[in-house]
Amino acid sequence: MGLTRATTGNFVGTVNVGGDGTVLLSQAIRRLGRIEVPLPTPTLGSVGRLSRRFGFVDYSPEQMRFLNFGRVVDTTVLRTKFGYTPRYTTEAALTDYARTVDPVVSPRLVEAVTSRVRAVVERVGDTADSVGERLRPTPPAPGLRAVRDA
Amino acid sequence: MPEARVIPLRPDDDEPYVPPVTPPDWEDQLAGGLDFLRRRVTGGYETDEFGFDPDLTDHVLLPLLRPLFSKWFRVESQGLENVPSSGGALLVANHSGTLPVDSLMTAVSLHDQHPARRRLRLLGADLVFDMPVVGELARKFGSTLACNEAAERLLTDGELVGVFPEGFKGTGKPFRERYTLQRFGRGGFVTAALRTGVPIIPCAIVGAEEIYPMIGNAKTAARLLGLPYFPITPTFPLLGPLGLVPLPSKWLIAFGEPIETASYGPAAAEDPMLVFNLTDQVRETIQHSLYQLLLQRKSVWG
Repeated sequence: MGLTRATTGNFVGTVNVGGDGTVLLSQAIRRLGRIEVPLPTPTLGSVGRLSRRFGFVDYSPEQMRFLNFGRVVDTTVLRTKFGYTPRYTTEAALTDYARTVDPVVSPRLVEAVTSRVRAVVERVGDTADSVGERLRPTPPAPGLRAVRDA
Repeated sequence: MPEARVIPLRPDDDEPYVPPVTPPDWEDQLAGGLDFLRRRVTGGYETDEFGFDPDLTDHVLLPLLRPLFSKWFRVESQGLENVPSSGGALLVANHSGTLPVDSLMTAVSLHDQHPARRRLRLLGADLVFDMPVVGELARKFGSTLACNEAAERLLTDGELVGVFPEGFKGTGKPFRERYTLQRFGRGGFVTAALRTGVPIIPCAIVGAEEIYPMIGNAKTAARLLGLPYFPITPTFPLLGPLGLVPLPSKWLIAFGEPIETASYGPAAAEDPMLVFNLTDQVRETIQHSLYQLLLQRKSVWG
């Protein structure tokens, strides 16, 4: 739809194209459930060549530069003058992509671990409370009676 | 002693009993902490186009700064009503203290003490963002590089932007020149305010000058490290890392009456005379307010 408008519409000039919203690289890695491995910049070339040779990931030096320094483009012209809003926001596009890759650290695993930790700590807390109560029982509340006036 | 229960005599016409607000117990705090960890690991938090991370700011950075704010410097804020509750505004303040702790404390003050809990989006020098860890944290705290495009974008988005026009000249001035404002750049901040039509709020900060009193500047070391200055304070570098502990001076922050700029129109940004006059007006207001605050403060440590 965007391409149709670009060829048949009456907008002339250069326009930035991008989805709404931004996602940091670290955030994208975490949302995909992958693990971050920082590498010094000089090693990127050789790592890239190795990974290409063994058919893992294929990336070009330009793409590496995109990843190295974040890119944010102003898409106001696209939305207002060109008159086109991409169907997916950046976040929605990433979520959609995440469905096709299997995560190393799955969100479900993280959820399970945190709720397990919480349950254990709560049980420990409850035990400590009951032990404390047995050692120092709270005095019974003084008997109070509601008085109904005539 | 257990609290007495309120027993209404006539259940119909009595006010409902409101239980006193209790601080969150450890179980809630733990649940909150675990929730935060889960969000961090799975990336389920929001960031904006400048790299601002409200989740990390609220749960890690602000809690770390709060003890420094309330216990160490005992910051008192005045004139918070001069900061609008919504919409863009440009906060202009004096800069001092060798390390820019004053900007962080102003941000805590506006977030914790302003009724609208406003977030201060700081504009910093490029050196800040070139530093390995500090730069990343500064971005996540909501700061960005001081340039007119970024400032104007934040202001049109309705953010409260904080700027320190003195820059390194303010933070790196010798202790004997404390509380004298340095030159205010070329008035870039006034241009940004004029173009976006937001009010300028002059802000005076007293107390930051004494945290690291700079008695000398090792120029050779500064040049070697690529820094604008290399401070020598009574404790640094004499005591090593211990010298990084700031002295516990008493702080006062005063937010002045807003100077409105909307009536001049965006075209006025091109008028160098008007920009110069407004810059001078803001500078004079801050300097005057600094002297007033100094009179109010009983002693440096008071």
